Amino acid sequence: MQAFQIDQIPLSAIDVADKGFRITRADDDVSALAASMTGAGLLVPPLVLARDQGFVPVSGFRRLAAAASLDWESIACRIAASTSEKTLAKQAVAENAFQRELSPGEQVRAAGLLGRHMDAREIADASLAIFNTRLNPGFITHLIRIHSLPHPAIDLLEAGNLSIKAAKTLTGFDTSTAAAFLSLFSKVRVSSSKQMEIMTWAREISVREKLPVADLCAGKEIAALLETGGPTAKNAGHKDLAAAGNLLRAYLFQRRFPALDQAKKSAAGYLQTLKLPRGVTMTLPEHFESMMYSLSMNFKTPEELQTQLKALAELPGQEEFASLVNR
Amino acid sequence: MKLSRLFIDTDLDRTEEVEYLISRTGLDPEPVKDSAPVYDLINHAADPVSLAKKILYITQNRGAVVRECPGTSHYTCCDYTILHTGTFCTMDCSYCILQAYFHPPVLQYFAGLDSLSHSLDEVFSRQKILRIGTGEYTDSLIWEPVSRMPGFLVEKFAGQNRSVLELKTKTVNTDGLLDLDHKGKTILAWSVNTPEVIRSEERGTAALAARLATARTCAEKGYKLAFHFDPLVLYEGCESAYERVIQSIFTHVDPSDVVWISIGTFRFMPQLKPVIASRFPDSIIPYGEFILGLDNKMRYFKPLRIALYRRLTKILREIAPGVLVYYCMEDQEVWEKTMGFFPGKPGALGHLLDAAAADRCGLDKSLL
Repeated sequence: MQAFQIDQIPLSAIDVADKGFRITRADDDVSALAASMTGAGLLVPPLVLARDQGFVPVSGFRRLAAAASLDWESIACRIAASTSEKTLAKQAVAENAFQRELSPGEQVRAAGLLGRHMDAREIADASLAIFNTRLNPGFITHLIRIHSLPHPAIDLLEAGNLSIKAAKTLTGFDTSTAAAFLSLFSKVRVSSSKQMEIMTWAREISVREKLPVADLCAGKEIAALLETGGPTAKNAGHKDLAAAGNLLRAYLFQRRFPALDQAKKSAAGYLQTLKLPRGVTMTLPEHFESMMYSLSMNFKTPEELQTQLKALAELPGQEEFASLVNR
Repeated sequence: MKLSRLFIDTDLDRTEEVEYLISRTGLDPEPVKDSAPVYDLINHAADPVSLAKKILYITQNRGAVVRECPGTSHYTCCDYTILHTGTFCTMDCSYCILQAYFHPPVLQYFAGLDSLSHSLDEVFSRQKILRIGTGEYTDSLIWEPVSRMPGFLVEKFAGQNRSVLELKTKTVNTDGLLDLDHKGKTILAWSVNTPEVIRSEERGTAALAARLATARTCAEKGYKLAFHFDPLVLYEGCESAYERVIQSIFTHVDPSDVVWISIGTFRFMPQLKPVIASRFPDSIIPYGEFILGLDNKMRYFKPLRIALYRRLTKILREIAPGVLVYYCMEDQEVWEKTMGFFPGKPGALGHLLDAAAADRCGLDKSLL
């Protein structure tokens, strides 16, 4: 078993700018950790590697940042016994993975770090000991590919603007297309399935219109609607990323499926003006493919049902109803 | 047929039919005990579909030789009967469903004219009219230059009057059939499309002009004809382009020689889309305005289908009013809005087609 030597090291001797082993995000708020270190002390010393001059961190980047924020002059550190970059990479990942579940961004950084020294199969074979869970080589390969996506892919993964599934899809695109989508996803926040939809529709519009995805995404229309996605009343000064995402999806759908979009909007208009009795709901055929419309009704008393049926009997005479059904 | 390898079942009788096929391919057959080595070879290729088009596997049909067309739910089927003589195709149409239908696709030729003959004798003994085709799982006439089968089938059908054979193709491979005594019991059918679609999506097929010239030659030899506008592809200007195809057909052949014309817009299982995207990255065919149909296949948004159908049925009525035009897998709304009627009852569309076949091909009308 490996024993670590623990030394008190001046913070100035640790090159915290060297983030070679870092898998946590760099801009995390460390105020809570700093408060804990003040109250309870440093429970687990960071792991550092001794170099000819000073030290570089292997794990404990947030603890070092918290110590700096507390103006500590020195900090207790474990000194890495090995100088093997491969061993240190495994230790850097394992230290985090055995404390908590790694976030998607951390998984990607971890795979990128390990991928410098090991192939996907080797990482997968050792995954239980490194990641605290079994990962298959295919998944590891995807993580390594995601790690090579342009900036700000990993930041978007951390922020929840980009799912692993969507990131995996991005790795199959050329650099300019991937960068265009990353730029879009930095301006919207939608679910993973909607991210996939946005990419699918945008790519299909690109093929249909012989327009590069990058040009489509940088076009005036998308720029304008993301701009008007705009500051919300409640949160003035910040974009409502979810609203912007919905606007983007609606725009792409309209451009990808113009006839279907027009039909849906037209039907929605008729439905709105239709005088349906209270408690009665009308459902349109999916994509207007079937001829089957359906009505459902809720009632509490026979009298209420009688009223609804009477109103329903007049429905076929309504102009809006005829326009809706006689399509 | 540009083949690179030929496999054959070791237990297959090396009949004259088989020896002829082997000799026509010009390849040395590689004997296999079963299909596993062929499937393995294709499955392990980077592009199994492309490889499968170059490898011929001569084997026996171990399933049903005569099958009912599977059709699909919610849409009206023509009740076609399939004669299962082979699978897959050497041509390379981007939209071909066979790319995703077989796992993997294998170019199989089912040898055994004797057993085929027995199966057909049973079919011909039935007290009903059948429209039978070999073009469901393969192109009927890719085999004509290398195989005895198409000619055998034409002559077999000539000896009865209860069923009609439809050989459906995108080739011009009819030379070996022209002088046969077909007695009108074989319909030679061409799948047609606009020159633009043929050029961009139907690799290795004959040009439209060549198909129509061949159709004319066949008509001159007394063959009845059919044309299948399937798949219709929607693109800018497609309506006029398809109208020109219709006009072109009837400048080549007389409407009285045409038994039926079918129409169907492009529809596909969702799993075909990534295959097309991968194998034909320049094709825009899977990126039309498709919705998921009631049968879980992707179809063009219905108003778009109806608009194109209206244009085509109108011109067909004008040019060839006596020719039976029908939809392959469409629903009541489409029929009524474009044809003005709907053959709604089960078997009704099939009956219309049977009647056309009986009338034009001299089948026993008492069976209608």
